[in-house]
Amino acid sequence: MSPLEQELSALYKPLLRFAQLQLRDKAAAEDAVSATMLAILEKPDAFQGASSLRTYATGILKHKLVDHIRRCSREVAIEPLDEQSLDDAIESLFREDGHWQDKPAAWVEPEQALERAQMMRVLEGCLEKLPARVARVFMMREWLEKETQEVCEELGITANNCHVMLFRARMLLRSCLDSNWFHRSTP
Amino acid sequence: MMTEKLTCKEVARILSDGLDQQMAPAERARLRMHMVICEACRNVEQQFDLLRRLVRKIEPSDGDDGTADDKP
Repeated sequence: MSPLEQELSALYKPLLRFAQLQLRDKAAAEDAVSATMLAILEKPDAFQGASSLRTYATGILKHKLVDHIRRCSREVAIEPLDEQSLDDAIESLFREDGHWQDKPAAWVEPEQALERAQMMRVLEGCLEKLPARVARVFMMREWLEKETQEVCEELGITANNCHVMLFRARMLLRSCLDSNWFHRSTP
Repeated sequence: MMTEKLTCKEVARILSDGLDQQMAPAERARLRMHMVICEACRNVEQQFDLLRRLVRKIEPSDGDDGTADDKP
């Protein structure tokens, strides 16, 4: 194997995990990662080493993920969303008068690299726990950095539904990160 | 536009919407008014912003805990 191939081989699993975070479909994630690696191997000279191979491959993978979503958004069998229990969970964060049940306390960002890396892992875990439909909208908006209008159009949902999904995602992630990292009860 | 005060629950939704679309000036004023008096919602605003920054920074990481790989 060439050095490039060796590096790609080491990146396979991380890229796959990353693709699954967005697609929630193992076979589709494998396809997207394979397409990414193929694109790099077809034009090895295009990778100039200005960025790391990881960053370079991630950029290509993002495009492949968008392609996949564009092709399959309307037909993919994604798990149905239990909207009621989701809304109940968010509702339970507030008192009847609309005040917070437990007032959110400030977050202090870790300064050390190791701690930051740990925090990112916790965040990834929180993202994996999001319901698939909520995650898909959120990841398209925040991770693939698409405009909300594009997200709605590509997923074939209304603007209002899009905003509701994004709100749910942010509330769930905020709670998850709060209790598993910033204000975790066990040291 | 209503002149009634916003609740924290309404503010959370408005903060989220504000990350995805322009806010009408009147609504913005009502939001800022609430922020002036409510520390909890100021924290939430900061946390939503941080969430956005962190998610944009996610890159494939080498799994060391194996949690994700083993999922069905």
